[in-house]
Amino acid sequence: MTLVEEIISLFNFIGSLVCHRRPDRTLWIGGHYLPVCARDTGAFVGLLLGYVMLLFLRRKEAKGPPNLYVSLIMMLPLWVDSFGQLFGLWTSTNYLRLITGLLFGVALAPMLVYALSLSPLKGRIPLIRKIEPETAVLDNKNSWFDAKALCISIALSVILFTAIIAVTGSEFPLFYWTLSIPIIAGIVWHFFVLPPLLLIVALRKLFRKK
Amino acid sequence: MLLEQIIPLAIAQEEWFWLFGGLFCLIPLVWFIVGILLCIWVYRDAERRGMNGVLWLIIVLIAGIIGLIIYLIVRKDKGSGQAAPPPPPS
Repeated sequence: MTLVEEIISLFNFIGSLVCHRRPDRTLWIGGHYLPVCARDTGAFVGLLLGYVMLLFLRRKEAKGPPNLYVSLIMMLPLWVDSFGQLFGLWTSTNYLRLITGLLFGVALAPMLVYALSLSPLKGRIPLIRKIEPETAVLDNKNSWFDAKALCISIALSVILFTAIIAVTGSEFPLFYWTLSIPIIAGIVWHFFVLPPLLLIVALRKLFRKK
Repeated sequence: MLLEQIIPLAIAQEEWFWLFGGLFCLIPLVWFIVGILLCIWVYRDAERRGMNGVLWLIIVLIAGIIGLIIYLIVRKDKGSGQAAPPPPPS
């Protein structure tokens, strides 16, 4: 087995820890199946896009939560599509799974960062602290990531979705690596780095109080 | 090849398996604790605002983050669930 094949099998192993990886629900890009299914691909790529959007479009002086109405509109399709399929109302398609995952991920990133900044862990999580709001006030109407920023994120999600479906089925390996590396980074960060960090920071805070 | 050798070996050696399994169990545990803390916050916040805390607790339990966003949209302003303050003396 070559080094490249070993890396791909490592990616597949990491993907299988968090995803079913059913071949019929996983996208085939660059001559390989992606490490996670279409919906998770959308969610992890969307999360990454959401963080990038936060870097450029957040309103640093604002204190209110990300626009809740637009966030809800972005997250609801994944929920409806998943539950509709779960209860046998319809069978989703990979493209529908991908776009609902993308929209969910893009909306989740600002919610996650804002939620962390409301908790006692504000300013203590590496990387996240650089994009957190300076002061978070849940009742404040001045949105830290407003409707305009979310709409731009939706537009970029649609462009990204179009790009992904355009390369689905291709045999050019670059497309596989362009997508699978951010996906694996997203899995490692959200499942293997962030939860232990949360736990360590919370325990340190707890023991310092005592 | 290396991975194919390491993973069955790690599973075969029980201490490796339990170490890895234990670490992996930590992740859902942390998210579970975060979820429980969130539900407690929603219940207490809803009660403080004169809303049905149990109902919102159930909604957030079922719908997760979507339930939380719906709660944040529909929750009453602070103090609207309490009795109105007495009028100032004339």
